[in-house]
Amino acid sequence: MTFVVTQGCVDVQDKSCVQVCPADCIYEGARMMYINPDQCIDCGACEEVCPMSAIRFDGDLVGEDEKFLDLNAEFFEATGPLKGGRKLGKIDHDVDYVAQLPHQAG
Amino acid sequence: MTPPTISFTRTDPYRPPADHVRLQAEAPISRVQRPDGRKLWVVTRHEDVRTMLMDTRFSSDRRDPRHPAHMAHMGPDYRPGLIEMDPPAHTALRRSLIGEFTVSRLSAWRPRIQEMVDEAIDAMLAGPPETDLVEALSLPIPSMVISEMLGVPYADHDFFQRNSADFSRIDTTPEQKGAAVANLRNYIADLVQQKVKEPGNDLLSRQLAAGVKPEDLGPIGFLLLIAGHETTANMISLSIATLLDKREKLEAVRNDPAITVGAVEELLRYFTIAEVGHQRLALADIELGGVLIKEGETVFGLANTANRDAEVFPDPDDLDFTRLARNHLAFGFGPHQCLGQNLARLELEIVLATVLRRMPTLRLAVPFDEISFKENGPNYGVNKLEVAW
Repeated sequence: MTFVVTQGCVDVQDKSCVQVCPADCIYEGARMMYINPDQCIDCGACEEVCPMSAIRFDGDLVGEDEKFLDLNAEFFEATGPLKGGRKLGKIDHDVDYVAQLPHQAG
Repeated sequence: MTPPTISFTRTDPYRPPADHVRLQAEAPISRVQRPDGRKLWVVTRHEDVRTMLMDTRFSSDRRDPRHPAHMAHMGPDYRPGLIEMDPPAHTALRRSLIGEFTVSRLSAWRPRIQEMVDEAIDAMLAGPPETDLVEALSLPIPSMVISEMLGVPYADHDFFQRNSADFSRIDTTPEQKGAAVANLRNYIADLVQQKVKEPGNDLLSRQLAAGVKPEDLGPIGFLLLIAGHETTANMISLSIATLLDKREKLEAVRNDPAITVGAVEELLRYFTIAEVGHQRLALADIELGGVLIKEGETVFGLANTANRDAEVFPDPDDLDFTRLARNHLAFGFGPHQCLGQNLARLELEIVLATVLRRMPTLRLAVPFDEISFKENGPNYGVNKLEVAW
């Protein structure tokens, strides 16, 4: 179980979540944020602060958002082990599905 | 050298205890003692409290006799509640519960909570135009909400409220507290057994269906009841007392209900009612903020001063409903961050908005200075809030 960033974050990346995450497990990709499921401690702090309501508990995922459970995990297969998102900053990479999404105008 | 004795009591409702504030400025991580002679570390700055609460070598396991919140009944057979556990046992139980308390799941409760608040206010308006808001609104609402979530029959509500109040009040004896805890634990254990036989559409039944053992579910249910009841009640009372005292703040919210959510968040930061902070036991020698804390020593992370840390919250003593600071520690931080935080926010928002809308002439019936505040308790709050309209 983990919290998951979903499509609402794409091309938004407000990053309020990063400031409240105690596990520092939310990472900035090129177009969206990703939660590392191996580091998430299920505190729920991020879900509440997301202005896009884009962060969901995996048990709450429905419809199109369901695929983002695997997409969040997939992001970290490419990055290898990371020690925390805050100092690291932007990783200029996205999972293929997100990279190919049309730009979501603000 | 004997460490200095510090007080955990507020002298001003709008400020954390003066000793805490002084330590934050002079010695942010300090070795002190409580009036009863128990020695401890207090951690007062935002960054240090966050670091401490994220480091699970600072243990929450209250079964360890060295833990500051250890109590005599926590013997080897004691089944701890979530806040009394460390990973990995904590992790698994937390994961089974967090789904019940997400923003998206709780949004389904909004209409029902609104209904409860409206009914409580209907009852107030139907009676004499002066009452104790704590009894009429602050205590019943969170109690009814958590009771319905757990699947507690409404008929047992009075029993709940009485025992929960006995457990929380400062003027009850240790024996009365013990009896209240026993009553509630027994009640919930029985309720869990009832749900085993006849599952319903409620939290306890869902946890059983998900594989949580009945004997583990008792302590969880007990914690959800206690943790969400008096704490939320205190915040409701303090928030309304503050709005009635600072009329310009009340008018700001009334004129622009959209800022209610920001007002709730700021009131949470401003009061940070967990007065004794977050208590941990060091399981190793740990360096924190340049200070060496030794194995076996106890550490209190003071969220109330952390939430007035000027490095994080500019002009921290200003009550500013447009601040929108979400990184406060009113609900703690890390693996033990308040499970019910989103429920508390929802209840506070609905209560404040509804009171302001439906009780436009509400006022304090006694001067603010004469309100009976909860002092020396684990949580700051209000014993009695006499209001009139």
